[in-house]
Amino acid sequence: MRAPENHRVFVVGYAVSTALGHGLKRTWERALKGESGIRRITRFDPKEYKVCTAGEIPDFDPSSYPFLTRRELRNWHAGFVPLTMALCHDALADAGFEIKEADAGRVGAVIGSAINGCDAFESNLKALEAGGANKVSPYLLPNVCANLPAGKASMLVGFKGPLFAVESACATGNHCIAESARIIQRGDADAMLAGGIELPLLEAINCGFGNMNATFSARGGDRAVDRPELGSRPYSVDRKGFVLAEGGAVLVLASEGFALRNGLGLRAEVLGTAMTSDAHHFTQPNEDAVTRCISLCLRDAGIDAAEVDVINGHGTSTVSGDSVEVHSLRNVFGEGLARIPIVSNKSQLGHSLGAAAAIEAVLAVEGMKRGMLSPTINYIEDPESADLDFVSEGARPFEHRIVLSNSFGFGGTNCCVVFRK
Amino acid sequence: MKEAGPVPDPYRMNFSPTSPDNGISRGKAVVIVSHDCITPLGDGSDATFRNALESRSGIRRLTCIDTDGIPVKFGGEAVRPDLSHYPFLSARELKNWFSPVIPHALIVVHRALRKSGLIIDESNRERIGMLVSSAIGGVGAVLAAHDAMAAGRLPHPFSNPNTCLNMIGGKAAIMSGAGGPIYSPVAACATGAVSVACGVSMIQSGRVDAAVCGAVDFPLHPTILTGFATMNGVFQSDDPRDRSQSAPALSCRPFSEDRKGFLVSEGAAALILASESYARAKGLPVEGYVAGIGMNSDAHHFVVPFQETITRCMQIALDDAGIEPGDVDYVNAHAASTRVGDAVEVRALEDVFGREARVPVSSNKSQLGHTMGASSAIEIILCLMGMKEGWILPTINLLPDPEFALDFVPHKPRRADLRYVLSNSFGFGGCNCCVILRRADC
Repeated sequence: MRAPENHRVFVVGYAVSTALGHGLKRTWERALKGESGIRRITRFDPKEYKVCTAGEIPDFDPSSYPFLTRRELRNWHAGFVPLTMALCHDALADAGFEIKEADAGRVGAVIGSAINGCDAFESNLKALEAGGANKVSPYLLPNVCANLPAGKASMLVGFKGPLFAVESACATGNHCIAESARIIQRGDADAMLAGGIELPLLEAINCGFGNMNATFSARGGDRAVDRPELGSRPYSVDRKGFVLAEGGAVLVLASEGFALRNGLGLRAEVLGTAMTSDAHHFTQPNEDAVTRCISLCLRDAGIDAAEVDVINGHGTSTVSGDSVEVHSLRNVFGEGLARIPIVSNKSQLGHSLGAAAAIEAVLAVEGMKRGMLSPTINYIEDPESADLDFVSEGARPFEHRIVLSNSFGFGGTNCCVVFRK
Repeated sequence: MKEAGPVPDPYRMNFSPTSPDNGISRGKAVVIVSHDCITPLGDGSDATFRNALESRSGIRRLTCIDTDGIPVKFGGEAVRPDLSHYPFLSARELKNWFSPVIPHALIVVHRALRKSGLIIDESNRERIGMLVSSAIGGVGAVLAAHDAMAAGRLPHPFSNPNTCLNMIGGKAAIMSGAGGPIYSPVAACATGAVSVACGVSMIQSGRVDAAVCGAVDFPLHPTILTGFATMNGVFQSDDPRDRSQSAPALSCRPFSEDRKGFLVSEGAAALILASESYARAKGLPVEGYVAGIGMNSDAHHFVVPFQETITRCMQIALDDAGIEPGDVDYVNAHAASTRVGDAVEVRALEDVFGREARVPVSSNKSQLGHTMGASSAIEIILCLMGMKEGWILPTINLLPDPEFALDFVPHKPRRADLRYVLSNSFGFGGCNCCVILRRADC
């Protein structure tokens, strides 16, 4: 084996699509205004299901992308394929990076999803039941294949380096960023597209999460009964589960040398990454493993806890999930935690599972660049964390240089990333 | 920038090199300490290898599903282990984790760990990674949830966790106690090899001392088979003159003149990787070295492989291993068994090894069918066993294609002294991964 080359890795561009809007501009503007992207589900009729609200991308229009022809959309009917293509295209444009043939073999992608192309499975199953074998699309299998969206993006924008999907449920986005950074660090690629894409709004998925009691259901006298936008409330005393959401984000990462040679602007360094496994329970988070993940990440970044300026929390919004995260943060940061702002983008966007961490990474880097923190909305103080600063009063101007971004997934999979301006 | 603690760790993310190689001339050596698999040829690596040496086939007329009304009749059903042997598979566990990928993954991980002698306890659990994955995962659980809702019932509360790809590794981590990095790498038919590649990277970067790699797929579901049939990927001939009409096993014939697509099979495989220094210190067995990895993508077509990039992928692996094509003693081919897939692989092999290449090339898929994500992990296991025992497994059912001049080791296994072996895998979506293995004693 060759020796690792140990390149420094930087974020040089990105694109997002969230419940607040397709594109960074709309998402960021609405996030700073303290808006919520949560509403009654329209992707299917939520009837009287236990869970009727979600975050839907309000304005993704495939026809605004010339490469997403009607024929292409018919073939690639799993929604995460065209959304991945669009976001890879936009992220490269944002970076000002056009992949030249000579560099193609040195540019790759690690992009994942938690639910993948289950929508294609569902629609083809209906077709099989209704019309028999000939009604099943020849594109069914490629559509449900987790690595295919990045594969389609490679055909679109022309990269030929390492390509695979990484799956780790709600932490997928961070694992994709961390593995991409490692590939560049080792010297196996000069640049990578890293991200997560999620379009999970299927009836069965919605009801499955509802039956697990993982997702928020507005019942009784809850403040969200007639106001869906109040449902996503990470860290709040009355939190009751997450609100499922659509979303996607792709970041362009590059080695320092490649970025400088190609005139790509350095927005933030991927300073440290860490992954741990709970080996504990399939949905319950584990304080030891989460604490260890945060500590390992700081150690990998070579910084002390006191140097962290802002924490972009996982904020899963379940009773035990947020409690374990807060305890773990206290274990690592001690008394100092009270002075570090903790932001939860899920309060505004809902939880887009495999995409969430990638979206949060983009918003964390954008926040550093602009010297602004977007708020944690819908927050009602939990006595357990009364001393902490969740930026609940609204967006806040705040110059900062180092952000820790947390993500923890079902199956006991944890991944943290530290970014430096 | 902050100094890197008392002992500089060159593998840390933010370590900035002052010299191109930081004083390290080679990456850490990575060894495979044990493995286990469940395939259509046997329950276990040994049973699979013995039956493969007998030139047997695991392909039959399918009985685990009703194939009336679907165009696919043949495939490879895994030889089922006796689940009652495993205390961690209680009746309750099996009821909750109803997708077959989960219990079979747990069994191969459990047995591979037992064979390795690696005890996971508080002293080492944080330094052991878990990368067992799947290409298709528990999609059967989504289909069951859909059926339940269509019938006016609520889906099983474990539907979503059963569907979640990384739950396979999550359950294996809970069973084994592995507490290091965990995620599921997915690259369609190259998933198992990419899992190994990710394990190698993790060990090399010093993040873990050992990693559990591999993949599992149980894809024999009518909707999946019909999907492969409508894309013309899978063998579905009902031509009465086809040679498979008398014997279903003959339908599986990579590199043959009359090849007509792959046969979908079930399989599970786990490999335990470790840094050589850790394996030696712990007295773990060494089944072979991972000598080099190549990964790239086609950027060409969503299922048709691309000669230029798979050629390049093999070359990247050779460069990583620091060897020449002439050092490779055997190629374990991907062998998609489709008309164009095999032709492209043969041309790429000619590009790398020369048109007059005499390196033996064979296909385990001729005997096992295509176990999807698990296939490349199973093929790596069979390569390790072949190197250890001095055998090249055959390409069975071969009816030579006059277009191909390679030595496909037809019909019967062959004795050979194998030091370096190249295992190819190329997945849908243009994900390529080539792995070079080196025998334990050289």
